[in-house]
Amino acid sequence: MERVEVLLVEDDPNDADLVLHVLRKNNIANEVHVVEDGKEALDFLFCRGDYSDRDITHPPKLVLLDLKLPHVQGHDVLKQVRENEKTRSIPVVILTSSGLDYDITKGYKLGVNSYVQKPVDFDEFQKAVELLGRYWLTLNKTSIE
Amino acid sequence: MSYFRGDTTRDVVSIYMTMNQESDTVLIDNHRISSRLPSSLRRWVPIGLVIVTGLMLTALIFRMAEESEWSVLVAGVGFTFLFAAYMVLLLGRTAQVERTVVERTAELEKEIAERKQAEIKIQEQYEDIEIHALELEAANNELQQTQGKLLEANLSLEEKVKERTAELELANKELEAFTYSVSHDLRAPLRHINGFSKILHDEYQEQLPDEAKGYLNRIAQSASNMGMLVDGLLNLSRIGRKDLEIASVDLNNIIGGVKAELEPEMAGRDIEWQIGELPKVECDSVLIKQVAVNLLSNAIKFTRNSSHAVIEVKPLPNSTPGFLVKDNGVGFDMNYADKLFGVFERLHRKLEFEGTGIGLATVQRIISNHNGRIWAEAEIDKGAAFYVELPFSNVEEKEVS
Repeated sequence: MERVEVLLVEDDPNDADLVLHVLRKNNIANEVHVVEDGKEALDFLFCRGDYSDRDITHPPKLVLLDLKLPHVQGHDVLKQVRENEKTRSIPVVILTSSGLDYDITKGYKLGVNSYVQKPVDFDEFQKAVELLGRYWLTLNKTSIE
Repeated sequence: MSYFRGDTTRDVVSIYMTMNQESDTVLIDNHRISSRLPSSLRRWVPIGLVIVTGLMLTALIFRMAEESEWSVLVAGVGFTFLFAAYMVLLLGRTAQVERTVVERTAELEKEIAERKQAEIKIQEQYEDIEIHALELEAANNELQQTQGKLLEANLSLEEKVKERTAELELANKELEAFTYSVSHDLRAPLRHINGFSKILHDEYQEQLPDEAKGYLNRIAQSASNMGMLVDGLLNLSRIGRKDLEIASVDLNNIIGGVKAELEPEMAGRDIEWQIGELPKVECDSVLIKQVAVNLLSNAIKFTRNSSHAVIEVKPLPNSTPGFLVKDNGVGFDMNYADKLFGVFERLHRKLEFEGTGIGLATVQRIISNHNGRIWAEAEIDKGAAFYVELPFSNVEEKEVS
């Protein structure tokens, strides 16, 4: 199984398609896995349920996390990822429509690496996703390569 | 006896009356002493004495004449004469004293009558005062009752205000939550419209006729504009909720930083900046920066048609804390100046100058949250000037609920 580079946690298929379009078009990431709710995201990251055959020692290079999610909210996903020794160091970037101070502060308190609000204008959206992808997938170093 | 039991006026009157009565008693006593003996007796006793003495002396003289002692006789007659003269003088003096006593008595009686009169007057006044005192007391009671009622009303009013405030706060929170959720949830579909129309435009260029591409551009542009509107509204509502973080801020740094940030908007433009030495002010630096961004980008935008734009940023006169931003752009009609700071108010056509109509409303809200003042002066085609005045210091912290 090819190693997943980006885990996209996004319940809105339109947003998911836009992100995928930018990542693929700019050849930033080929292996992007999309999950539509927080519970599935946790199953993927902790290699359980449908993802029990995954290897936990091969985490994604980047998790793009939306906040408003069914079942388990984005902040709770982040909290559980940071509480577990095995998943603690995975880079997580919140990519959301919300620009609420509360959401931003809570995100950083829970240990998010970066917080990006999705711009309405697609040119800016494209720029933001491209920048994020290039930084975290090529420039940034993680302990497991 | 204690004169000052509380009612001073009454006591003063009673003291005065007592004093009057005492002095009257003295006068009357004097009169009594002088008229202790009946006047007829007082007149006849000395005369009687003179006659008796005269008779006795005459007897003595005749006795002396019998014994032919003339020298003694002469002495006796002389003595008698002297005695008689003394008695006459004494009688005259008594009569004078008596007259004086009568006169004095009359005077005293007159005085007593006058004093009685005065006393009656004082008594009347005293009664008047008592009536007034009663009236005053009644008025005082009424006042106290009114005060009590007022206090009660105040308390219930305070209760009502508290209830109403709580209700309003709740309503406000709900409204904020609603605004936020609307703004937030509106952004997602706008992003999709904008995104997919742009992808369609870019990726399928060859297959699309120019007209279709034009429409796609319009769709993308409209979605983008609406996105800016939503962001502007979101920002405006956020400012209303934000607590001010007041610190001493150097306006020179703020203006310098904002000007640098706005460089991309000035590309290809001939703009002369005249920036004066600005003061330090007490404000929330993040919010004042937003004010500066709005005012400077407006100045850049509305001088777009000037061949040589001049933008001034100067301190306010008389060392008033704040600053002014003046340009030589299109200006506006001062008749519409009151609309300038309203939400969604625009004084220029959209095709001429883009914008959401939220910027200056946001600026005004920020300044009024600082207890400051903003106003503008302008003339069509001559330019506009915006004056931002902040309080000197000790900006009231906004109450946090």
